[in-house]
Amino acid sequence: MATVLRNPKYASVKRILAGDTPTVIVYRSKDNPRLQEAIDELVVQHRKDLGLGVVVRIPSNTQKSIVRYLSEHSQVPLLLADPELYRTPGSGWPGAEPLAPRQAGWSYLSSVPAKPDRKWAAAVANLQYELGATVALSATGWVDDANAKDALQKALHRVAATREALGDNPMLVNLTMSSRWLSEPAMRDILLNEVVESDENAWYLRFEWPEAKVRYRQLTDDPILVGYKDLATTFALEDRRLFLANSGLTGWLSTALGATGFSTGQSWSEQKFAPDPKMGSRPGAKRPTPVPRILDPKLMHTIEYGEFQRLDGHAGHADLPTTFALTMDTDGHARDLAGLHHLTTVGNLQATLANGQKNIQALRRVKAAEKFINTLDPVDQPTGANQPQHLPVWRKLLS
Amino acid sequence: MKASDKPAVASALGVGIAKPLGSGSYGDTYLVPLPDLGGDCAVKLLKPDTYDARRAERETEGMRRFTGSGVAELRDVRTVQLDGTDRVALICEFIPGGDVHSRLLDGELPNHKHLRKFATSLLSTVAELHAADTVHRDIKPLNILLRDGKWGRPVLIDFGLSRLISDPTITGYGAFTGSYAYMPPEHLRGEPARKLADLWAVGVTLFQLATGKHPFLPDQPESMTVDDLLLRLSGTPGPLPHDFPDDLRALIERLLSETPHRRGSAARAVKDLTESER
Repeated sequence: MATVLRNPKYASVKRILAGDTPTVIVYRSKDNPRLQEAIDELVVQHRKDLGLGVVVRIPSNTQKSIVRYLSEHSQVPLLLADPELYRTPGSGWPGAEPLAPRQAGWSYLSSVPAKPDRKWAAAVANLQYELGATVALSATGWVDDANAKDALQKALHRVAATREALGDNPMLVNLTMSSRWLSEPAMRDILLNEVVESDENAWYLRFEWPEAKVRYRQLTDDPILVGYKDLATTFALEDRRLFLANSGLTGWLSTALGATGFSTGQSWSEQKFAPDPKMGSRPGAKRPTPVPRILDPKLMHTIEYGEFQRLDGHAGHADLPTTFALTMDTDGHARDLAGLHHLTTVGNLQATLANGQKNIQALRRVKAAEKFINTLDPVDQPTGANQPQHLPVWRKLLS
Repeated sequence: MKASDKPAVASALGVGIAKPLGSGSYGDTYLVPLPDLGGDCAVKLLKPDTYDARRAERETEGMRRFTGSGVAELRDVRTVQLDGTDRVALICEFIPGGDVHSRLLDGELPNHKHLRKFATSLLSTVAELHAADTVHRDIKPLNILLRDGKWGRPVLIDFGLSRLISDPTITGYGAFTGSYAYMPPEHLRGEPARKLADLWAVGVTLFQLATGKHPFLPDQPESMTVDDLLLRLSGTPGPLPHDFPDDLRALIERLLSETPHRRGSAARAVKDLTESER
């Protein structure tokens, strides 16, 4: 059990929703019982310069476990219980599957009304509060690509039903959509028209990326990233809050461009919302031994731990240290420590955007990473999946 | 307006005199002394073929909520008998000072300082309306009065009265008095006029006050179809004066963006103007 900090100085929900602090929302599941240790480290280091949140997925957990998880982090201001309505069969999400027995236990998932329904929306919102959430996500799911304008209108009618049920209580407009909504200018315009027209101040948007060819590689798809930039910039100009769900360090880049924050987790599946690459294996073949990996704070990229240690021997590599990485220095790589280091590093990076012009701060960091790489002898530079291919793409977007 | 209407209107309203103030597509407006409603009032008698009392009441519900100086105060909605027909009468406060359209016709344009005050005040009013989920839908110089004749005190009148427009052909936009000249491309394409349509209309109005010209249409009225008009609106707006303030230039150019969200909200425009004044 983690030590409970006395009088931790968290940025309040009010401060987070006012957009006064860059925010990171981390996933809590049974796989990361030591999560509070990472949160404590971030609070001690950054206090009110960093907004912190914890999110739990409702469908894949029991009521008891969600209540326990969120109560373990009751000092964290922003607590979310995500209804993940896009997962329901018939939502239109291509990845939706029939409800598993545990999911079917959540009655709201099997009773999604065909049309916006205030009573049902109120039930979904109230469930989130009962589970321990401090801010509700609107009872909305997948927004289809086909007939984009109509699909978005329908989703926004459901948002309106939740708003009607919640009154003035804080709510995030919760939409899950394909990355075509970012990459295709016409679809992006439809989305941005609604954002600017809307009276809703805070949005929680999740975009499904194309299948990643290489695990742990940062998103480098230019049209999608241009879409993120347009989105984040518009939210900032309109003084609105944008939280990007499951967006990993693309969320950090977007924060530098105008978003308020993002959600991520220790696992690859929580760091992005995209189909995983299909792994072919022969029947009876042993699963390959997992490669020890770590998020490199300098390169802002998850690389093999051995490579991280090798780079750490070069001057200028050390950056944003965490107690978890220091422990691994002496005790060796451990998956749970690497996960805690990941979340702490993401929080540390996010906090670097707290003061000054966010895009300038981020650009400095990207340039410093590129400079470090360029000072290495070519044979010492990371290659393959360890190569931070995103840096020049990010630099261009931030310049 | 027929002179013989005046006594009939006065009689219908139960007063001794009704002085004509103007006539538009949707009705005729009179200055009428109504002591029970606080004195001189502007009474708009809506044309019976375009409006019914129920609809007018609904349209004016939003207007009643605003008491700021940027919105003409709606004092009452009555149904009166005129020439044997029921007519809806929208009764608003009377605002002496004239309208922006008359100033444009007279070639009386505000200087940069006054234009900035006008823009800030008008956009503040629009922001207030939008925050209350109310869309004007017919912002144009004719629907903007100047309280006490001052550029810094614009007042919006005639809320939501353009909703019923469905004529597919423009037969002439007069001296920019027709609403078509202030409609954004998306509205001309048949989409409903929303908040960002109001921002376009403000942009056109500000451009006219800066240059005396419409940003996209020729000086001389001509007949054109909606398609003709859309083609013109997809082009580049006319030039603003060389010595025009940068912040106002950026604002007007932004408000005239063909893509609605690029115009930004009224609240953002007010914030930008306020910050640039510091």
